[in-house]
Amino acid sequence: MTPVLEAADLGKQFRRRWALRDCHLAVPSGRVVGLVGPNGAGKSTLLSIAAGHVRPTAGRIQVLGAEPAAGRQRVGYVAQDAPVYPGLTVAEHLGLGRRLNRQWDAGRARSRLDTLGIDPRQRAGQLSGGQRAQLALTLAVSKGPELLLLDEPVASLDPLARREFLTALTGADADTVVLSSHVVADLAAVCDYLIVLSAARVVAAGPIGDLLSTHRADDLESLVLALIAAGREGLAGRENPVGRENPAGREGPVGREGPVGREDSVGRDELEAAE
Amino acid sequence: MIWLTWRQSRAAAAAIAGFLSVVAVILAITGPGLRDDFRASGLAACAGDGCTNAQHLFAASVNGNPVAVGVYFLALVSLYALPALIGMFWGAPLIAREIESRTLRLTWSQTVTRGRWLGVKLGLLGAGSVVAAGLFSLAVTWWAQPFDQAAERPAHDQGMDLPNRFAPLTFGARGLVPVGYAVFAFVLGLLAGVVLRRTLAAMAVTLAALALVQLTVPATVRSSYNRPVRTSVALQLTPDRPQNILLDNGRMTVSEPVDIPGAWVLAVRTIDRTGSSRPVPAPAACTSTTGTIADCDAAINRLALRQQVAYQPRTRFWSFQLIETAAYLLAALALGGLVRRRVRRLDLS
Repeated sequence: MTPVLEAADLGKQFRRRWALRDCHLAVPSGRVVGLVGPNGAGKSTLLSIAAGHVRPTAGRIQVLGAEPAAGRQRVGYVAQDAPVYPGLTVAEHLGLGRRLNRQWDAGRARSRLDTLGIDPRQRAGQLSGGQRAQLALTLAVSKGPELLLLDEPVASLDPLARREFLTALTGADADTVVLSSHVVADLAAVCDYLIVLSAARVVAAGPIGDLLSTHRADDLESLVLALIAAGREGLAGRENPVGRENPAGREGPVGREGPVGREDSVGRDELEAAE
Repeated sequence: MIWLTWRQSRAAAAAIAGFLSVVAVILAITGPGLRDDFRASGLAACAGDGCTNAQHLFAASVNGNPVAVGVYFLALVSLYALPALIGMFWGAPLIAREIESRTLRLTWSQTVTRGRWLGVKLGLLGAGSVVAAGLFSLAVTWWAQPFDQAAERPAHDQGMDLPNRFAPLTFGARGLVPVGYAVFAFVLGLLAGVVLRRTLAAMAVTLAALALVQLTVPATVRSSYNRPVRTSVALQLTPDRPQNILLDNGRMTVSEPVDIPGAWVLAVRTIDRTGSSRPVPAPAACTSTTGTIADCDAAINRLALRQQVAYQPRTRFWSFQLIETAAYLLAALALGGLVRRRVRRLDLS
C-alpha cells in the first residue's frame, strides 16, 4: 500500500539553521499518527512541508502519492494556534470553506459546530482558544480530507478542552491523522503510530506497540524521553545520527537500545523543561 | 475568493469611497459657478487684446472666490494622495496582514491555488483602483476645465498665477495618468507587503517609494517622451510686463516670462548677437541712479538679445498622458510578475 506520507532525505534550512534534515518517513494509511518532539525539533516544519506551505530545501516528499501542493484537495491542515479571520463570523468561515472547496460537506460542518455548542453568529475573534481550534478543525475536516495534518492543535487549550478536542478527533474525521504535540500523554490517548523528532531529525517512527516492545519501555513517555535524549547524544557524537543507513521511517528503532525503565523516565514537566 | 476579498477590503474601500464622495460633492457644488465665471469673462471666444481683458475678468472673479482656489488645490492634493492611499491601505496589507495573522495558512489550505488567490485579489482590487482613480480624475479634470482653458489662452499670465495642465504639478492630476499611478501604487504596496511581511513597514516603504517615483519621473523622465521643440524669440522688454534683470559687477542677465499658451516650457536661455549666453555688459541707463525703467528697457532692447526656448507644445498633452499611463501600467505589470513569483515561493514558516 502506498504510504500517505513518504519522505526521503527531506530537509529544510532557514538561513543557516536546519529546521529539519535527513528526514526519511513512510507513514501508512489508516493510522492516527503522533508527531512528538521538543520545541524546535522540526514538527511544524515537517507538517508545513506536507501541507505545501513550505518548500523543502533538500530531498523530496510525497503526500498521498503526489507533490504536496497537488494534493491540497485531499489534505486537511490546521496550523499551530488555529488561525482564523477574527472579523468573520463562524457562519462566514463555513461559507468561506464552502466557496473554496468543491467537496464541502455543509451538513457535517453544521452538525459538528452544533454538537460543540459554537454559535454560528459569533465572530471568530470572540471565540475562546478551544472554540477557535474547533472551528479550524471543522474547516479542515468538512472538505472531506483523506489525510488530516494537525499542528499542535491542543497546545493552547486547558485540560478539559484538550480532552474534548481529542475525543472529537477520534470520530473518524479522516482516513489518516497526523497530530503533533510535545505532550506525550495527549498523543498516547489517541495515537497508534509515533514519529519522534529531536534536534531537527527523525529519531524513531513506527507503531507504538512495536516501539515499546523493541525498546522494552514501560510507557510511552519514558520511551519518548529516552529517544529524544538519544537523538541529542547522537547529534553531539556525530554529525548524522540517523542517516540513510538507518532510516527512521522504515520502522527500525533508532537511538538507545535496551530497556527503558522507570528509573530512566522523567515526567512531562521535564520534557517541556528540556525544550 | 471574490467574496473573501470583498469582505476583507470593504472597510478600506468604504473609507476611500467616503473620501472621494466628499471631494466629489465639493466639486459638484463649486464647479458650475466656476464655469459661469469663465463664460462671463469671454475667455472662450476672445482673440488678441480682447484676451487680456478677458483674462483680467476671469482672474478677478477667481481671486474674489477663495473657495474656488482652495478647492483647486484640494483636488490637486487629493489626486496625488489617492494612489498613495490605495498603495498603503489596499496593496500593502493585502498579503502582509495575512502573513502576520497567519490566516494565509487557513486560506491556502483550502482547494484554491496560490495563483488563483492572487489573481482574484489583483484583479478585483486592481479594478477597484482603476475605477476609483479614473472617476476621481474625471471629476477633477471636468471641474478644473475653466482654469486649464484660461491657462491655455493668450495672455494667460495676466493676474492668474496658476500653472497650465501640462506643467509638471498639474499634469499628474489630470486625465489618464492618475489611473496609472493608482494601479502602480497598488501593486507596489503588494510587493512591499510580500517582501517585508510586515504591514506597517510595507505601508511606509510604499509611501516612500511612491513619493520618490512621483518626484523623479516629472523631474527627469517625462520631458524625454518626445524631443522638445526649440524656438528663439526676440527679447523686447516693456515696463508693463514682468522682467528679470540681474546685475553683477557691471554685467547683467536678462529674461522675461515666455508666453507659449498651454506649453510646458522646459528651458529658457538668453543669448546675445554672437549666440553667447554669458551675462552682457550692463548699459549705463540700467546702472545710472537717474535712469528710468523705460530708459533701461530701451537700452536693453537695443542689444538685440534673444531668448532660446525649449518646450513641449500643448498639442502633445494627450500623447504624454498616454505614454506615462502606459509606462506606469507596464511597471505595475512587471511588479505584478515579481509579486506572483514571490507568492508562489512564499514559505509560511
